[in-house]
Amino acid sequence: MSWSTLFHIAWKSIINRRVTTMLTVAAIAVSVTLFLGVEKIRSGAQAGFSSTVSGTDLIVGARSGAINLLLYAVFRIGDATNNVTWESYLDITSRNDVAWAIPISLGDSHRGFRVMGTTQAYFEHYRTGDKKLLGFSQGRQFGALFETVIGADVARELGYAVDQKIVIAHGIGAVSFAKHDNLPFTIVGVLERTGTPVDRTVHVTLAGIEAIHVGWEGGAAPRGKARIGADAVAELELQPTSITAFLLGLKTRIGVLTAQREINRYADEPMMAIIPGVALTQLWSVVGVADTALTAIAAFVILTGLFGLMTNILSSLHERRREMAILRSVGARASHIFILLVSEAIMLATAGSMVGILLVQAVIAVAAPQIVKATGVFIGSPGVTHFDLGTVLGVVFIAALLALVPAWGAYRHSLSDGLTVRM
Amino acid sequence: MVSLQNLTFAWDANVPVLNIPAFQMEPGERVFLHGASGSGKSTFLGILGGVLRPTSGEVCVLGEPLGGMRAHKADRFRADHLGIIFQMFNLLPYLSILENVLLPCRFSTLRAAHARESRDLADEADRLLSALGLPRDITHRPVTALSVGQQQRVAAARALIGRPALIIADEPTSALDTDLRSDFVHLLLQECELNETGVLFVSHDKSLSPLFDRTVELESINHIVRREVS
Ligand SMILES: Nc1ncnc2c1ncn2[C@@H]1O[C@H](COP(=O)(O)OP(=O)(O)OP(=O)(O)O)[C@@H](O)[C@H]1O
Ligand SMILES: [Mg+2]
Repeated sequence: MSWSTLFHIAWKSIINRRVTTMLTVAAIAVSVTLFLGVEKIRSGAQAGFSSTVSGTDLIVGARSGAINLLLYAVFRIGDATNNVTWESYLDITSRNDVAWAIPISLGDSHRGFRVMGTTQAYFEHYRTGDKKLLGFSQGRQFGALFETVIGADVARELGYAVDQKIVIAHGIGAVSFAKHDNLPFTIVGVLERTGTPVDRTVHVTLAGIEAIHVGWEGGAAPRGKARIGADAVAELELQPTSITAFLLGLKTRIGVLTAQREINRYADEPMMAIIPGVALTQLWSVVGVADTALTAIAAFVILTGLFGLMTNILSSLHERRREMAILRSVGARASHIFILLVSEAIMLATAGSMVGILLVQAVIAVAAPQIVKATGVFIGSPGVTHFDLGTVLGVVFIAALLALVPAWGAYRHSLSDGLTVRM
Repeated sequence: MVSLQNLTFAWDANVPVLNIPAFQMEPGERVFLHGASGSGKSTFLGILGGVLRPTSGEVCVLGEPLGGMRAHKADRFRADHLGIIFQMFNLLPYLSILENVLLPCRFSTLRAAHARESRDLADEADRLLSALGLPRDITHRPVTALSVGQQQRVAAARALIGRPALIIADEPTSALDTDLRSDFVHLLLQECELNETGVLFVSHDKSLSPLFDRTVELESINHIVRREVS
């Protein structure tokens, strides 16, 4: 007999039980959606994560944990326990093998966004994942003392544009009461979107950071005479005494390990240097645990859906014993009965996972922009990936495997029932 | 057409159900098989249908040694040469009447070729259905909307399509009322006569036996020693 007849019969039989069929397909679809969704978020997060910084050979900060240093220097999360003195910075950056250095000074904020003091070197050497330098969507680099360049998210969320003036708050809370409002900064540039923490950063000059802290040495806002204006500050010689961390580019990558070792042994001050790629991998292995757990849960949800499918077929067998005897009587082989049930499972699993893929696409189309906005994680644009297809194949394969159980039962029945229609 | 020698069959090794030294059917012969409930009639038909394997002995149908055939060959043989009607629930509820009637043609190219000899498949199915007394205007209903009598007519049309050599019917009339029974059997036999199709018809209802060429009591050909369970 031809395969098409067998599939036709399986199909009609499925349609005949449409309510249970639809529920089974829905269960598989939802589980596949969950699984693929988790995977998309995972790969999006991982890709975004590892493309946060590139082209930097070493990140140097006060001695603490490697992950901590990475978090505050690159992700701008958390705080440094200690600073690096300006002398040490000058000393290390004068090494022969250093090609460039980007100093970073953190600690202030603007309406919930981190403020980072740095130099023009940042625009010349800082690269995100695809090895791209930072681009400007508006304006230019900062030059003068009270100029600032803001990230794409800062501009979008706060509705800022070039020429606006902003005030920087002391400390990093979203709502801060101690403001450097005597010394406003002028926005001179807005950066292009990078999908990295750069988007959420307000960049000012290192000297600017120093300037707004003149008179704050005690840790509290200066009053009366100590409170000075922009003109007065501009006349001061602003030399930072310390910075939070710095990024180093070396002349040759071969020297990275040597340089790292020597910085770690730096005598004047406890310092540590980390290799961004290594530290990123380390950090990901921490974050990745949660992620692996999620993937495992999603996989189990799929398995649950497939057990539902198997249950559906098994419980239908009882009422369908008749159907099998009829098919046998018109010449179906026992193996046809077997194939009938397996192909039924395959059809349901295929339908379920196809619907699942469509659902994921729909979710991505609708939710991806929101997710990027809320978390900065880019979960990809709609489009069926190899992973999606692999998942469909896997689901269908496991469904076929599980269907062997009811199929074998039906096969045995159809051999032993003879030609009687049993109830 | 059918010839058995020293057939034995047991579902369970200790409980023989059949032990038939000899049984014959001539081509085109219509035999009425009668026997008590549980005497092994359905089991006997299962063996002749090639679904059950005899424990020992020889079974020849149309000159083919059905008993010793490989399973898939026996299945093919059944599809090609046998038409089978059950007591009830003969139809697949999710197929249309036409699809149900044409099922044997899907499993056997021989049956399909026979059915196509004088007209196309659907017309042949229609012809059989009306020859068996199924009103024309209901052939487009879903099978679940048919009465039991109508369902049995569809089942008979399915058994007959493509001129099988032998019809095996296992109490096809027991769910019908008495008037319908002889009418149904009459039409069935009429159609078989046209093609010289052999019929082996099992029933409890002795009143039908005059319609057949010969009546066989299963107990008289089956020589098992019954061990009563007490
Ligand atoms: N699938 C089976 N497995 C085990 N024993 C069976 C099976 N089918 C039938 N039997 C046994 O074989 C014997 C003959 O059963 P069979 O169905 O052939 O009787 P029958 O003559 O057709 O009865 P009825 O007139 O009630 O249909 C019975 O004792 C029955 O219990
Ligand atoms: Mg019976």
